[in-house]
Amino acid sequence: MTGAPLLELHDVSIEFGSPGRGLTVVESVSFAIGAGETVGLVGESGSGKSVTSLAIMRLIPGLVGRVAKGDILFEGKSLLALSEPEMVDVRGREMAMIFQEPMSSLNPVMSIGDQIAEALMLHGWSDRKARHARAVEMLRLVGIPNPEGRFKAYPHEFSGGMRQRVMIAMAVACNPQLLIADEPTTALDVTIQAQVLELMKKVRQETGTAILLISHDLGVIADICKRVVVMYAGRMVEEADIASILRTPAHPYTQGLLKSVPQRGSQSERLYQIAGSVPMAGAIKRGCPFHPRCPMAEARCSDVMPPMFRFADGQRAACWVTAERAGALDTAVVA
Amino acid sequence: MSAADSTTAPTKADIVPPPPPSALTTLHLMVEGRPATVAALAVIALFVLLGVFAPLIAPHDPLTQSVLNVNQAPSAEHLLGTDQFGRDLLSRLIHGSRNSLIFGFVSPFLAALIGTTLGVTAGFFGGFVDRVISRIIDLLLAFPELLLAILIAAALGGGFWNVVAVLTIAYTPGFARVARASTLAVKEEPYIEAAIAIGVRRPLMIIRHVIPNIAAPVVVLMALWAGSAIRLEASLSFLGIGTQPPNPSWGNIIRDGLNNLFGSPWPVIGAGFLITLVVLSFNLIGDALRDALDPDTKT
Amino acid sequence: MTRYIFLRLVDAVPTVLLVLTLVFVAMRILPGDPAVAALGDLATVEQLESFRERMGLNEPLWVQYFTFLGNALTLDFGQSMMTGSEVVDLIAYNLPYTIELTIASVVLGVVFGIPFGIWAATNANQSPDAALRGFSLIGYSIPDFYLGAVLLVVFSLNLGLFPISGGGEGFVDRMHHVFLPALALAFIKAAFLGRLTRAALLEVLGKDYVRTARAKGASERRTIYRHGLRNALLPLTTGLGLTTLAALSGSVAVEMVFNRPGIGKLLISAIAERDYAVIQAGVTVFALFVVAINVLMDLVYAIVDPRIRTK
Repeated sequence: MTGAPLLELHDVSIEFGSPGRGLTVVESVSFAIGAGETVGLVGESGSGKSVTSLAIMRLIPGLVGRVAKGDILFEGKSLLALSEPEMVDVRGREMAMIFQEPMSSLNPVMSIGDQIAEALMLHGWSDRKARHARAVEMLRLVGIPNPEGRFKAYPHEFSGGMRQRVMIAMAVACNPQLLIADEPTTALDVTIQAQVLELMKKVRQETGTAILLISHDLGVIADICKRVVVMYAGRMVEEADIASILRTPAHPYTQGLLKSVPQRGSQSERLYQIAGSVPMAGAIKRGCPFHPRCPMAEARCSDVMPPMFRFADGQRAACWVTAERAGALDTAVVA
Repeated sequence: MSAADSTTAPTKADIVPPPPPSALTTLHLMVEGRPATVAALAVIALFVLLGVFAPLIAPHDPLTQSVLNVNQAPSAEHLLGTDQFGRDLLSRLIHGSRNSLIFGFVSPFLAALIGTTLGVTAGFFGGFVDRVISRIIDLLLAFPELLLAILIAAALGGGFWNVVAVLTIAYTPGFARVARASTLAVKEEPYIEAAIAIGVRRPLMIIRHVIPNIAAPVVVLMALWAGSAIRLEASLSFLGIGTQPPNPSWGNIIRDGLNNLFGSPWPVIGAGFLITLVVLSFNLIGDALRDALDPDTKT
Repeated sequence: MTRYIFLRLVDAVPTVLLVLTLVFVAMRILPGDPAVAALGDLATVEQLESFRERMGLNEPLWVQYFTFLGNALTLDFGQSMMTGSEVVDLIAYNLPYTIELTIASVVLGVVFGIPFGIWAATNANQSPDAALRGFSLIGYSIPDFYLGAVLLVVFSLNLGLFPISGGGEGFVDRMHHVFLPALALAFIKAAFLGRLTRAALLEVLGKDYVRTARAKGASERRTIYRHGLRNALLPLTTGLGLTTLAALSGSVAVEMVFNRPGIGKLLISAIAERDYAVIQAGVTVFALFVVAINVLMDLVYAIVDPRIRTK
């Protein structure tokens, strides 16, 4: 990381329901992404990772939820302070997003070429021919065969994997600094998953965009990301580079997550399961949200939420027990 | 919902659908926080009483003409005045409510009975039976109810039983479609497959599972179409192909009144107001019923 | 696309035949003896016999059926018993008025209903939404012929702003004549289209592709109109077809109220006068109208929805 990070989340809490009395679904999340960096955000469904990404894009409808605390900075400027028209200009141009559901994320009554061209038109490409040329170039970049001829084709004429390629083409058409990908491969077949991940690597290489990849699948994240943020029940529990996470996971939840990933060649008779079930976001109000399921839990865990402690190699994790064992108790990070 | 559920074996709760809410629960859901529904229920209750006890309540005979008393303005003797034949308007409106009551309840009920039977039959057995029934349903559905009723009445002529028949035919395809679609959906449900797997016989299955499942939409339709049927009967009677004079019906009271607008505007105003009020009440009740029984449906 | 239109038109042929058959069955079999129905119980045997002869009712049923089909397809509906004029001429005179009324009321309904629905959907659960709900409840409940009568009394009889009866001559006069009847019909159309637009738009605005549009930087306005409304057009097309059909059926009573020429008034008068040939023609015309509107609706649907068009 050099200079100011591209995107910074400072102690962000997100609340759903009526202001002040709603449910806090994401609490005190802080992390940063540098220019051109690829960061993974991992967690089970309901952990608040998608909500976090929508909050960065400011795509949570005001009646549904809002950032109640903290700030989100893009190139050092607060996104939350922008007016809606200013934010509209940021979306798609500075940062773009692709979604989990390629089958339903494209407008069914608009040709794919027009949808890519629209993204360009919205961000200053006033010349029709230039837009068309750029859209075709993008389709070629993402590997749509016969891009010129397919410009006028509609989404229903494409498979799920092809549609996700179109989504990626649309997202990077304006050369955004940041691409947020929310479970981009989850809805796809395994072989297609690998292709789409390869494509994202290629796009990163050719455009130099930073990527925030959101997934429940640590394997997918390990494939493409250098650094990873782990979320559990609306809380950030660990952050580290991918190698550290895989080698020495610091948080008991991350440890459990790693143990439950099937290992190739492993002879163990049964896959590891984390005991208990994922709590509803905001259901555990006191202490560490993981303590009811945690094999290492102590009395203080159910009482006080641990801050993020610094471990070796820039690894950070929010756990009293492992921090004490690592002698990191006095390294708490104040957000 | 906790994620643990997905790891445990399917329980009885997954196989057996939740029982439909009881009548009392439904009523409670319908009126809770909805004063308009309470008012609508009161209107309909009043309307039912008026219809049932019309001869006792009406101050005059609705058919007695009086040359001396034509086109009278409202007075103590005739609270709403009289029409061009000197008949008491209030009494005619009260007796007319009896007419609307019968059509409003009887026709949708008969249509529900016939339509549901047809729809369930088509949906459950499929194949040739389904193709024949569906084709006819589709064709009839292409016609708006009113137009269908007018066309059939044009062929049949007016009169009480003909109007009952016309209205019943007009609403049957709608019920049949709903019943067929619901049956097809229910057929795919895991608990039906489970029932087949444990050897429940087919006809028994229809009664045990399909009927309770489609009861909710059918009841909602009956409520919504009660209002519609009253409007339709009024339209037919207004056109002279529904209830035949001198028998009073709100529709033919407007018809007569329109020919005598300069004599007295009260018949048109009174009958029109009553139709609107009663249909509005049925629509409110239908909406409330739908929200109570079928919270997923969007309006 | 051309192929789709062709197939849809071919598909309408059996429907037309089925409709004509139903008309034939309804007219010949259901009401008993059409001669008695036409001439009344008091007609003499000779009168009945001559009527049967004239209408071809003595032929075997299948001959009658094919004669009827042939005549219907060549627009030969015989002569009116009351006036002696050619039924096809009566139809030709009255049809434009009915079409005019139907189109005018649908246009009014669209002009009021769709913007109202958009307004309510973009302000869901706020006062515009409540206003639409109230308006549509009344719109659904007030009979169009009653509303027509009220409009007639207030604006024509009392205020003298509009003509009392007739269909008018020349474009301006005809528009003047058609306005109140169309308004009476348009009320329920606006209520229906308003609710439909609201529901369709709200559903569409919750779709993933709308989120995509926002994510690529479309303004709220562009998101609603370019992406939301464009997709809401699909259910609206169906609604528009239903509305047109409802306007057609509502036109019958409204033509009576405003004493306007039209197929509905022709049909109702013919029923009162037991003018057999005219009834048969009127019923056939209405039924064909319904089939035609359904076909038209499907064609519009194909234009609006590329998923159908490119199949």
